[in-house]
Amino acid sequence: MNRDRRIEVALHAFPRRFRAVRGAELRATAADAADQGDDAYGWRALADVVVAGWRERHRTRPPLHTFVAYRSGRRLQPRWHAWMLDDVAGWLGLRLGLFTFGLMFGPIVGFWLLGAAIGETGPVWRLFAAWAALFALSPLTTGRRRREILRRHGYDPRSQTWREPRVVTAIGPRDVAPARRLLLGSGVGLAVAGTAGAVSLFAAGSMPEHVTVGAFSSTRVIDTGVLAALGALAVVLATGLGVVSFVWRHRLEARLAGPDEVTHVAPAHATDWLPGVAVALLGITGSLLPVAPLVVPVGLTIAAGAAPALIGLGIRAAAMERETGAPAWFRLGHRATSPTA
Amino acid sequence: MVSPMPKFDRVPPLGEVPTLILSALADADRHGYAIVAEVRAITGGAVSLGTGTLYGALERLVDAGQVVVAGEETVSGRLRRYYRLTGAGREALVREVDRQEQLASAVRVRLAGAT
Repeated sequence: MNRDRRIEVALHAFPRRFRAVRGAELRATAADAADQGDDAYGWRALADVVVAGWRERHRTRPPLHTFVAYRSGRRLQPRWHAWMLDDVAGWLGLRLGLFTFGLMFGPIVGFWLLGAAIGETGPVWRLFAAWAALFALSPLTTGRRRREILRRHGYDPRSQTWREPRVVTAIGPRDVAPARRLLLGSGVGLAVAGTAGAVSLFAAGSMPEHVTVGAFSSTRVIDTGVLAALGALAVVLATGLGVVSFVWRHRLEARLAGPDEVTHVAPAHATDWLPGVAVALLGITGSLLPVAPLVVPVGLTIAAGAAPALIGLGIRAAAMERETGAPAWFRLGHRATSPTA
Repeated sequence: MVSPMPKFDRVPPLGEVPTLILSALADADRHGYAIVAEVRAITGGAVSLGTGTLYGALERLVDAGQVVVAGEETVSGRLRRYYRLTGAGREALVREVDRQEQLASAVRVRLAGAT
């Protein structure tokens, strides 16, 4: 690898936007330094570039709570827009997959250790294989997610211009529903139950190694224990929300109580997690599927991954209630107004 | 009894690298390698900035409004971007120098008392 290539590789430690603005300049300065006899391409100099790049990434990234809200469907403030453009320009599918993985990793490991302590380690490799399969499929939805994120922030990639976004995505399964209670409650419930259900597969270690075609399925749910049953309830709930929202997605528009905040009551994330829910249901009830032990964790994981979006919406509704002093509601129709209007 | 110690202003330190870069730009606009060479001259060769460190710090200084891009040119196919100290940068540098002088004075008083 020649010296230019080495520093080019090291430069990737810096954010994409930094490389676009200062990459050529940094390379030129390194060449100037080398001409003057400095060791500008040695391992120490390259390490300096890498460390400085990661410091720059750390300095310019949003804080954790802002990042989680963004991944869950919230808009970022303008100060983070440059970071957002980098985020969607890169390996977005992989990062989305890792985010879901991160949500589940701690509980999974915790319950696995607990299972190990009582002698029930469970098939860990299956879960990681499932996640690998999930990541492999992530490019299928990456383009759509990229467009959705840019639209959410009011950015037009063709003209490279920003406008104030008026439309945000949300989920609203009924004509009029108390947004906070419905969304926050279902989101928290889904997160807890989905997580518990998924991790119980390890604690119990009870998914059969061999599933014969035609085996009775209900016993399998019971065998995985109470937590798995809760997980099944969670995915049923998620399916209900998703199906209703999916059916109504072209008909529902809503105004969430607040100034000029038009909300598409459409399952912005449902197409991501709904297939997972369906797969989970097939896995739990599907005695016809020999791969059930493999697909159940995937489905539960995806379902639980949708929970932050629901929780974020509930928090949003709660914040609007505080601002307006009135309950936040979802309503139908383009001309619907908030209860306070 | 009033302490003989000098008044010590609580100013957050600027940091060694930003201070040196601002110092290098105090008397003239300079491009990347010229800043590296000037810092080396200021410190008698004790500090040699790596390119990563230099541009990471420059980015922070530009974001803070203490340094601006004054112009650019291409020499032998290499991009040279010149940086200029702003009023805010000069103020920050003066504050840093004052802070270091106050700190040094305070330490000297202590050392004198110890002997």
